[in-house]
Amino acid sequence: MPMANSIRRLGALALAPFAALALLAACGDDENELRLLTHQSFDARSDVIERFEQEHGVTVTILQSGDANEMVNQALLNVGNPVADVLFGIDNLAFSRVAEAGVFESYASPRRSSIPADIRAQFGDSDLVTPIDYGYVNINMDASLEEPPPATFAELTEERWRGRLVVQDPTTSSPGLQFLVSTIAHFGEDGWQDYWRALRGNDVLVTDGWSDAYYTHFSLYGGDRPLVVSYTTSPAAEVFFGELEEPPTLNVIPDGVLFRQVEAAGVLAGSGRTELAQAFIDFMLSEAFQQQIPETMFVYPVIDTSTPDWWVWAHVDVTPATIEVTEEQIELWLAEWTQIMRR
Amino acid sequence: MAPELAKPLPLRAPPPESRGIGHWRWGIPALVLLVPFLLWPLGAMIWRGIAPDGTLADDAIRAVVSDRYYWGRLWFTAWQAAVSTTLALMVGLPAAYVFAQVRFPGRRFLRAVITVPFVLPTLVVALAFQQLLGPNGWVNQLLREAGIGTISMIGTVWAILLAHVFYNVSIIVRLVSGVWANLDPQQGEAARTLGAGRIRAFTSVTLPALLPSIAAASALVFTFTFTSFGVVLILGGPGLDTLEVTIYRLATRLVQLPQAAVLSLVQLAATLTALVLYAALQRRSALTVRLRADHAKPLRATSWAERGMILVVAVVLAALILAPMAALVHGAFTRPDGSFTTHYFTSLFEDTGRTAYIAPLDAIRWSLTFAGGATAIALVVGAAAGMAIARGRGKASALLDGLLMLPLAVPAVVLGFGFIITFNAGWYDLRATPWLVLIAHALIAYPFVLRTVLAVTRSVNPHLPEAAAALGASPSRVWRYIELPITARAMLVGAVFAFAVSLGEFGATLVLRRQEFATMPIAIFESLGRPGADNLGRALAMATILMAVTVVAFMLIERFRYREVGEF
Repeated sequence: MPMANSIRRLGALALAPFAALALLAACGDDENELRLLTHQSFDARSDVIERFEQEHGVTVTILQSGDANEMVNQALLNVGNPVADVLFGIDNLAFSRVAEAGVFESYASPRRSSIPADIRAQFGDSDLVTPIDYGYVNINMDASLEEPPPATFAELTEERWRGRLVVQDPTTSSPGLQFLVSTIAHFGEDGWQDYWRALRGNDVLVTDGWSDAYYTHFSLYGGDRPLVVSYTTSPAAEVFFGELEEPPTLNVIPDGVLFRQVEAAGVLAGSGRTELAQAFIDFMLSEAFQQQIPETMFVYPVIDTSTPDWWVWAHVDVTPATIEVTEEQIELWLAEWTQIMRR
Repeated sequence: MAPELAKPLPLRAPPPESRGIGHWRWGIPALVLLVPFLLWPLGAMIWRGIAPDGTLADDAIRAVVSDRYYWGRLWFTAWQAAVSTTLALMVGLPAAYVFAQVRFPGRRFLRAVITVPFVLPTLVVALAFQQLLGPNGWVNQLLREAGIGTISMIGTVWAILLAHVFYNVSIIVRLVSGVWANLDPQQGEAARTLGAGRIRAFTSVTLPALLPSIAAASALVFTFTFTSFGVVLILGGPGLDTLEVTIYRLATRLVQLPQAAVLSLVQLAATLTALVLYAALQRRSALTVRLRADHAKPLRATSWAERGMILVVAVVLAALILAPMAALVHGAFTRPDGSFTTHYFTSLFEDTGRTAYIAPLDAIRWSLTFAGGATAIALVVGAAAGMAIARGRGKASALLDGLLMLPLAVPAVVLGFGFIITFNAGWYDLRATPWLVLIAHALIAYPFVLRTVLAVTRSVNPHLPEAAAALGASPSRVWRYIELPITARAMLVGAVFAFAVSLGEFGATLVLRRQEFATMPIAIFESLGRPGADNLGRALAMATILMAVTVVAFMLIERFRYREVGEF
């Protein structure tokens, strides 16, 4: 009967997705697998990863949460029963959230001593995590603007820059938080609140994340604000992706001091593949991996290595800010910031 | 005539064990989905929030309840949802009329196109609006040339309201025109011959017949805008946070979970109340109407008044929906210097040799796979649930209706955490599997099928199945030949939205992703996470592909018809 036929056809069509998914899920869990839990900004050269896979006879499965925050939440909610073997992307701001939580297992990689001591110090030299890369969040300025860039944080509250800066919300955005910490390091625990009130009075725009700040409000992409909080490596990235001669943006480093974000990797406790996870951490400190970090993740490798030509645009003269950061402090700062800026 | 023949013959009573509409057994698929995948994880997470160490966190709870800021958020959320729904109705109802009553070339295509916004991630919509309304966008360029000042809307409540209409007007159009097109015109014509003016005929005959579908569409739009997240996050500003965004800000660092949990309960209560009210309205307004095959008239048969309305509708839809999408597509083909290029599209297919690279064909394939699977589940669950409560009487039925719409009321971030802490061991360790993605999509998709099925099923003459049974049809025959064809048309409309919701990855924030099954929206976000005109261009190109795939999928879905029983 015709209707029965169309029902049957419909039924077959409806079952197809489940068959596809079942196939995928079945191929998932095999013994020779290394699971990496990371955030959405992770990237690496496939041929370099393949070298690790061949050396150890495993497949590397990359599990990506949303941003770094969500990744840390995944780790915290899964303590003792991790969804992966190794985690990459925990930074020195989030470390205090996990330090006492039993998320990681200690591991001191043989190459650990090649990492500069001051970088290791950002985690208290704890061997729960191994630093892999670092970066700075600063202000990028549209190079087509024929004006001298702001030299200090304070200058951003002046009339000249009214309505011309876009920043990200530190509660939801990693660069936003890093920028906030830079201002706190500069103005001190008691001075930063007035600074941000002044910024608000000077018509600063706060966006949810980096993408909407950069692509909808930054004047380089049709927005009306020539100053955006971004990374010191963004100008270099623009050169790389646009195959340009020189960057369309300038690095602005107010007062010459910025908070330095260090990203680390750690062996997730209880995964049952500890040795493999440790091997992967060694691999991330290897020359091959460190060398490709600039072109894939646009941050600075912790171990000194040769870098591509266009990376010259990422060389900046920055003094890393000295500031103690704990989870409680961050929560207090965020609560205060929300009061000042959102209400 | 012999006296005994003057009495009507008694109809045979329907068989005692009727498996027809209204039997509770139809609710089982919905329970199978809701209890383990919504109620349990949500309950576990909320409990963990308000009682972190086993005892109630009274201080945190009291702190939230007494903070006027949060009550302000509830008020703002309800207000903007009500205004958004009203605006969507104002734009959608005239458009529904045009789509229902007038046949014009490209009608099906246009109807598919205005539903496309549904699948676009908010970030992409922000980009589109930027191209249109930004300082150097098309509108401001025109205004500047005309000598009028520029307008800026981003960060104002108008941006949020406009985006809500952009997203949701297609719900109104599809649900209402779906019924309107099949209303028997004879009743309206009868009213006219009896002396009623055109408006009177509309308000006393047509409008009551449309009320259930209007109520259904409004319920969906209200719920969607009430729990609006992406739009508020990206297009909003200080003082414009909805409850869902507030909950997200509190929960996202896992430290203010008690507050987030309390607000989640507030959001659930508020949304459920609204849903129950809508359900009651939909149920109470259900009239038995005669449904006929699509009888839309061709363009040349329309009156001048109708043509005026068609023009207004066309202009509004073009400006509101087509223009932003056109701006997106334009951006995908244009270099920063303004020259035409296909480079962004071709470069999508170039393997960058990096782990983050997502091949477009793979992304399309996985998007369609998840959407197909989620739609299949949504159809089974939603249609069955609709059959279970369609004939329900009394408050219990309205309450059940509201509960079944729960997935749309739940704060996504809390449910996402709930998934993590629930599905984390042994055979039910679904944390890194594609199944959770599928379930998340299905959860958010089936309420659409439920609403559309209810809107139509209640309009059907209940005597039809009874008459068939009296004539000797077994319950399964009654179902197959009477109830299924009627429900099927409604399911089709619901299926389109279920498919759209899944393509748009509205449940995406709930679960972990593996590179192997990255979808189109994920590919878009990948590109938008890095600086460079090429990355922006590639994101726009991928968005264009997403829109194209969506339009094709919609039009194909609508081709499923039960031709043998006539087009309903």
